[in-house]
Amino acid sequence: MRLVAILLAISLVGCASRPQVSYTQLASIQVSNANCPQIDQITQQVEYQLKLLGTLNKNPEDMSESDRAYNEKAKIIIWSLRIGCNNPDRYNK
Amino acid sequence: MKLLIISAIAVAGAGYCTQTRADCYTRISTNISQQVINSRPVDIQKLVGPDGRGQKCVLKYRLHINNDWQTVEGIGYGTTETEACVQALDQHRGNMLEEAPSSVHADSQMVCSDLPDIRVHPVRIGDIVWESETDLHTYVPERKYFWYKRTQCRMFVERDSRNQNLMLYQGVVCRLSTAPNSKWQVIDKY
Repeated sequence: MRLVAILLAISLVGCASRPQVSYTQLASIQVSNANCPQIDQITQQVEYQLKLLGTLNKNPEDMSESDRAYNEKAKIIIWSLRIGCNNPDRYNK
Repeated sequence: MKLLIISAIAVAGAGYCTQTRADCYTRISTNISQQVINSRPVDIQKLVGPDGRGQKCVLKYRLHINNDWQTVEGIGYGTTETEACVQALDQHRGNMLEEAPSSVHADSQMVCSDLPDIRVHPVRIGDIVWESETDLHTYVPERKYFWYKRTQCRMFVERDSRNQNLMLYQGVVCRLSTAPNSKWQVIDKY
C-alpha cells in the first residue's frame, strides 16, 4: 500500500514538472556537423526535456499550441543531428 | 419453413458482407513521361496472368507527379512475367488513373480494381503505411531518402486544417524491410 502511494506521488511529480530549458533557449540552439561528436549527449538532453513536458512520443494533434511549438523545435534539433550526422553528403550536390 | 427463410436471409447477408468492393477509376491517356516526376515508382501492385502472346502484367503504382501522388497503371506483355512487368513499369507506357468520373472524355476508359486503394491521409506515430500515403516534403532538398539506424527513411509533411487553422506537420517514415514493396512505419511526427 505504501509502495503504491510512493509510486503515485512520483508519477504526479513527473506530470507536474516542466522542461528546464525554456522555449527561447531551445529556439536559439543551432546545430551543425561540428556537433556530431556530441550527438548522443545532445539528443538525450533534448529528449529529456520532451519527457519532462510529456510530449516525447505524442502526436502533435494531441498537444496544446505551446507544447506543440516546443516539441517541434526540439524534434528539429534531434532530427537535424540524426539526419546530418548519419548522411554527411545529403545536402551536397 | 421459418428456419429456411432465416437461413436464406443469413446466407444472403453473409454473402453481402464478404463481397469485395472494387474501386473504379477513369483511365486517362495522359503521357506521364511529359510531366514533372518527383519520385521513382513506389507501392507497386502487380497482377499477372496468361495472355495469347505469353504473359500480361498489369502494374498499379504511385508516382509523385507535379505536386501530388498519382496512381498510374502500366500494362506490359512478354513471353515471361519478368519481361512483361519490366515493360509495364516503363513510364512511357503509364496512364494516370483518376477517381471516377466528374467528366468523361473521348479518350478515357473506366477501370475497376480490387487492389488496395492508396491515397494520402493523416497518420499517427507508429502507423504502418504505404510510402505514398504520406506526402513528399514541401522543401525539395528534404525529399531525399536518408539512413537512420541502417534503415531507409524519408521526411514527410501533413496538412491539417482543423478549426480553420492550417497546420503543417512534418515527420519521418522508415522502411520496414528491404523487400522491394515493403511498407513504411511512421516513426515521428511533429
